[in-house]
Amino acid sequence: MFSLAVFLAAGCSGLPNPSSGASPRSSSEGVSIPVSQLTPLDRCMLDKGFRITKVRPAGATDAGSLVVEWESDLPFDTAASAASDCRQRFAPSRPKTEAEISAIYAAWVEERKCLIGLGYNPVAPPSVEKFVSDWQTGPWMPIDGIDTNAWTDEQYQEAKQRCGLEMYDRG
Amino acid sequence: MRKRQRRLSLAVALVAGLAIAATPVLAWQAEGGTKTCGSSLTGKTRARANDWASIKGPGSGTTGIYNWGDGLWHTQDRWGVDGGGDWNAVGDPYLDLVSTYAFCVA
Repeated sequence: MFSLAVFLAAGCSGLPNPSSGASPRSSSEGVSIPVSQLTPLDRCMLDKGFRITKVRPAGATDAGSLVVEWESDLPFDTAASAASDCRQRFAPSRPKTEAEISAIYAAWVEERKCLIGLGYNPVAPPSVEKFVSDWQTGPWMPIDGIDTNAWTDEQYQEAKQRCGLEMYDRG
Repeated sequence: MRKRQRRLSLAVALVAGLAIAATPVLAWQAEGGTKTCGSSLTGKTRARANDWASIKGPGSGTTGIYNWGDGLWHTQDRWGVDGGGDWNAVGDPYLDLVSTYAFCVA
């Protein structure tokens, strides 16, 4: 079956290289995605005038699917409301179970150990009970206590490649 | 209570109930402000959100929409412009208000 790739033109603000995830200040570049892989959520966002800026694999738990990031020149409130409308209709959130949250805690504890191995000194993790109870307001993360703002690009890439840190993207 | 007053009270209650039912429930949390940076520094917004975020860098004219789609918390930075300016962040369903802020980068 022939799949037509949709080329989505870059805006004046510039688009990141989809493989590097660089900031929007990089040189303009289109992002193409096969039409057959556009989800109803993607189509809703495109219909509202958003442009796609990054496409990446969803990860091991949802192999084969894509996660898409978008951008808009609309005023923030308008853009956020439009995006929320698409989300509510096509991708409502599914609350995590306590077992799932506990598994995330265990994984993040290991990632913290990895960061220590790289020479960093992140804060100690809370108890798993505290982590679970904080889930709706903002739980502990492995990068807490590290001045990631001061990381060079090399330090950032090393930490991501060696320790995972899928929960952190510096844009 | 007279019949007319009773009917009026019921009508008011009905209209109020319908209005409440029709009001969309906000499913997100928001934060924002103004971050001024020196002319040689660039503003950046850091948002810590769960599952989905809308983020505007300080002084930027564009909003980034981040759909992680995994129900997890993420810390996402987004560039603003030199000198900074107004910034915003929305987390859907959750935003860590303490860990969401703007800063300046050399």
